[in-house]
Amino acid sequence: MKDTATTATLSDEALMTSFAAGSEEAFEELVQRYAAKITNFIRRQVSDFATAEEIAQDTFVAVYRKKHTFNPEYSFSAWFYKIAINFCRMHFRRKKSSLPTVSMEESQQEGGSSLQAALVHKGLGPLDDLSHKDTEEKVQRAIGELPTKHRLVFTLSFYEGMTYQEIGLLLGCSPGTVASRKHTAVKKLASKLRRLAPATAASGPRGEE
Amino acid sequence: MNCRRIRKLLTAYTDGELAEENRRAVSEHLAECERCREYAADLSKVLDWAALLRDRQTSPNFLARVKARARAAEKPTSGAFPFPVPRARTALAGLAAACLVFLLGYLAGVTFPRHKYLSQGGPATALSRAFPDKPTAPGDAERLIVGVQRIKMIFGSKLSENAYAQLNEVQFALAKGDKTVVQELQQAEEFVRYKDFAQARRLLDQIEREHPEHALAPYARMTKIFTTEQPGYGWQLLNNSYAALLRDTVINPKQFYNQLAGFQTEVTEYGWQKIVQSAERLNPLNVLDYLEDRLAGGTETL
Repeated sequence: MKDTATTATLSDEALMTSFAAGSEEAFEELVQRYAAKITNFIRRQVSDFATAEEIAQDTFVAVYRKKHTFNPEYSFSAWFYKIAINFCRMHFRRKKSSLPTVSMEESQQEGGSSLQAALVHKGLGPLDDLSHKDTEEKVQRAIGELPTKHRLVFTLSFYEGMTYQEIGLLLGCSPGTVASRKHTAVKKLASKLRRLAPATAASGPRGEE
Repeated sequence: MNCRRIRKLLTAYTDGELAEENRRAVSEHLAECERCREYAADLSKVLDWAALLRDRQTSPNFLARVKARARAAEKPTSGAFPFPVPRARTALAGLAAACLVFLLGYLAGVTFPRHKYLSQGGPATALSRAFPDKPTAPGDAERLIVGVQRIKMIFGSKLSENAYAQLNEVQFALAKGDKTVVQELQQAEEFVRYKDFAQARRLLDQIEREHPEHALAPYARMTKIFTTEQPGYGWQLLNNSYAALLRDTVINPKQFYNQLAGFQTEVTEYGWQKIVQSAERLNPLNVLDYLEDRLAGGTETL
């Protein structure tokens, strides 16, 4: 790892070029840069961290095998996300459905451990209790319940910080479509999250349609 | 602008994605409309919740596993696929076999009359006739490759063996950089042509697995359609998936619309509007979504 200092300063695209020329070290650097990022992105699509790690590894394996097809004139990151998204789509298709099997309503009816009950019991306002671990799972589930096209746009925009233009190029739609999908996603999330914490519901965004 | 229109823009406003004119309109409206301010605050509350989903660390052996799997994948696989796969080296052999099958079909009494377009100057003329309209965007090669595919589909069995082979040649020449995929897809086409849907499906699944860098989603759909014995629609999807394969490919909306005319009886007026709109946005996937919905007896909404 004597060249780590130099590899670390290279751009993603330069690393790919160097990897295509035979440098395993360049590949390792790319994995270091993107492993957590892509795994967390995928986890937000598939709602399960272990599955996400598997798919993230598939993605890197594809990069490894496809190194010669990468065109360094284009962005590595866009190419990389595209591969990851295609793997996610394949995953959903294998599962025959992009939705988790248990809907949020059902799980709430199961009662006992629901966040709502916990909040009422502790007498805490929902926004005071945001660090609750259970809450994180519920947020993940709400995102997981979004239709794929809305979930992709929302996660790429909110968590990955991409612009509408970048997302449009990645998903093959116009920035205008991205904008309306993002807005729809936020509204859908609002109504899903409202069920998690009725106290925010009163002030939650109302649907327009 | 009224509240309703302003609210639709709020997400893009928060993301800093609005053009100056709209940005100012939203900003001025928010300054004087308390209800919209509340609405905006509620939207941002949703984002506060979403922000709770924090990143996690990957397993310590992540890199090691990736490298192990990558090396394993470099080795030729065996047993995954029960018939010879047209990889780069064997693709030409596969095509030759396909041509042989074609020839046998010919000898068995199937006739392939030359289509008049092709007898009057070959694929080049046919291509120029297929694209009489002004191209809508750059990317001649990509447009042509879809054109070739379209000709193959529209003229189908009317093409002579020779003309078909010529079209294949044109397609190879045009498919920059990734001939393997095009060859494999053509192999799949041959399976479909001879109604060997199981083989086609297996090959298509494999193509999708092996080429995750391409948007091959339409293929999976096509296989479903083929296996439910609706080859006409399947061909449609096959054609479209070439467009998806070449990601910068531009579909000429008018051509695309005409191409879809075969579905006219099944699609409502509203449906047609949707199709045309999607085609105009140059996104074949949207059209696929819609048609697939229709075929499944789904709802009218996209």
